[in-house]
Amino acid sequence: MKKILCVILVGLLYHPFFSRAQTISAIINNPDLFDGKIVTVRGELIGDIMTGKGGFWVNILDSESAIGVWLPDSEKGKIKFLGKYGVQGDFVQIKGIFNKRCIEHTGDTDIHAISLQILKTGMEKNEEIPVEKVVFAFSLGIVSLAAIGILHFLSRKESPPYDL
Amino acid sequence: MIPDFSKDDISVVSHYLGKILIALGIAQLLPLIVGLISGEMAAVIDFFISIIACFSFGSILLYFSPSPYELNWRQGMIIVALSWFLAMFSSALPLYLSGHFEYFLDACFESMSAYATTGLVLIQDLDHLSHAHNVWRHLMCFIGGQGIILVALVFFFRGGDALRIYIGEARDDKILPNSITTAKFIWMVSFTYLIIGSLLLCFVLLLNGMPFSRAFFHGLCIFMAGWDTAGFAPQSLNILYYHNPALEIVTIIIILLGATSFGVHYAVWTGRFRELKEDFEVKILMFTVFLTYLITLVGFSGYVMRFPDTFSFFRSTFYQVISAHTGAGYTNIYASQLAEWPQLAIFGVIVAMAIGGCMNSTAGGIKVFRIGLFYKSMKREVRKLAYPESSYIKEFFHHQREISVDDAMVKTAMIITVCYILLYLSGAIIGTFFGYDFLLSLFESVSAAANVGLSTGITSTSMPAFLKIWYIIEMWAGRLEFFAIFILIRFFVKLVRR
Repeated sequence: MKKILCVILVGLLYHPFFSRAQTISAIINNPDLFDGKIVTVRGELIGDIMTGKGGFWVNILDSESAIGVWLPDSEKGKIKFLGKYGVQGDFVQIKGIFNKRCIEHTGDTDIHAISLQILKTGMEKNEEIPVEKVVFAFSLGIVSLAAIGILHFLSRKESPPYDL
Repeated sequence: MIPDFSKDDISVVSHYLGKILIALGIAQLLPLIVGLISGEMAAVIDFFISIIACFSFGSILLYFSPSPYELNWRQGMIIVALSWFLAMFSSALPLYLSGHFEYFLDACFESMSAYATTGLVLIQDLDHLSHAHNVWRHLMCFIGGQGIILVALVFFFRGGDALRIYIGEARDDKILPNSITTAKFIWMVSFTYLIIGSLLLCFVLLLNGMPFSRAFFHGLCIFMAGWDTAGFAPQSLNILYYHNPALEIVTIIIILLGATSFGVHYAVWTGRFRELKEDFEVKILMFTVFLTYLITLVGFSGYVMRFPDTFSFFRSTFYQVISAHTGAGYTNIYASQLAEWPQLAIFGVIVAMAIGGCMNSTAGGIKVFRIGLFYKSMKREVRKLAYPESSYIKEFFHHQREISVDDAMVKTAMIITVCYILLYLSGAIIGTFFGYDFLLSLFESVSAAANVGLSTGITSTSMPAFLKIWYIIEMWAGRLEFFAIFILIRFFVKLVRR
């Protein structure tokens, strides 16, 4: 039993979810510390895939900041969802070399990925519309239309007060 | 004797504010339609609420303030000053309802930043914002760049009223004989460039592998914020998101066009290409861009080796300087990287921001016209000393026509410049009071008051509320160039004294 628990524990420690990762903010705010070194970041892939020579760009967002990641074309197939309105992008772990000013990409601040692991596949989210907001909108619409109608009626009854 | 404010003033002002509110409600129909097309029903409801609110309050103001009178100058100025605040509140409503702002004040900050074409942002999780709200953010930049009043002018104002209200919005170029035709010309130019610029950006992004719908959406948003030198972008990484030097070059062309006077655009449109070469303001703009970049370069001496190559160095530094000078605020580096720049380089960017673009363009700041005017005035004074006392010395410059430098012109330019400098310093002092570094506070303050939008990281949701309010005031005062605001303050002082 103890052996099984040890195996599970070691397995968990080596699982990407529990391994050490840096926040993007920590890297960006201390670029000299991480420049040219291997970093591990976790976050949501957002926006769009943008192609380049021999690879592609994708941006990764954690709880605070985002950064561009340069990946080889072979990794493109792994990406299923990119975060935007109504879409939760794939939650990934990226291990790669951080460049404060990338030589290959005319000075971009980026991460050249060595590995990409999908920790959680993204999904399309159902749009949540609070019921109270809908009720408020309709009530406001009805009250406002009535008020505008009354004002219009009154203004026609008197001399026309405005010239729209 | 200075005439006192009367009840009629309040009635006239309320009447026109009502019209402007209705115009702002109409403008929000576009994001509502975008929301319907994109199937973003939550966003549609946000805009529905906001539009109804604009129409209702607008109608109430119109009903209770019938105004058969013609506007006078001070009423025009008060309307301009108040309409920008009214626009800020009414346009912040759908933004706040989106749930992407912690406080309503943050949404107000964002909408004033858009209208004043500043580009400082407090939005949270921008990368998951709906298309409808994103279009609204960029449309506000487009409306604000031309002038909120300019929107209403075309539809709702009579000829005489139009001129009085037009000048209040810091525009005094009489490109065409009357303000309404001038307003129409400005809109025609802007829409033509909108089509060309958006398609060009879309093409660059298509080459970058983006699908057409996304490329078009991004192209449209970047153009609207670039042409109006606002610097908003649909993603949180701003221009850094695209990792694309070609796109950066296109944005440089767009922001330079945006920072050029509509008078020069008119000349070029009517075939007078020589104006581009001869216009005094264009020459001064080129000179000050060169000078401020030179300061930045000197600031970087000793640091150049930290860049991998010359192009990388040029790309990182020139983009910030040109973006600062034109008031665009687009950036291809992180705020924390900018804050790390050598102090002299930061100073170079501050000077570029403080100077700004051309008069009667979409750019903010002191304006290169005034800098040029001081130079011409100094030259005239030096020549006066060199010539015999009886000599009558005149100094001319070419700005669509030959203009002689006169003392009244210099005096007005001096008053506005002093006001700008005081505004820049006020924000820096307040920022320092809240514990920020003076140089970085000055940077942020100049960025807000000159409607630039570059940031060293001070602008964030966590900054003190008072500083947010002060930056809103700076953006508003900087965009309207003070006179309308001075008259509004006097109006309120008189009201309180009663």
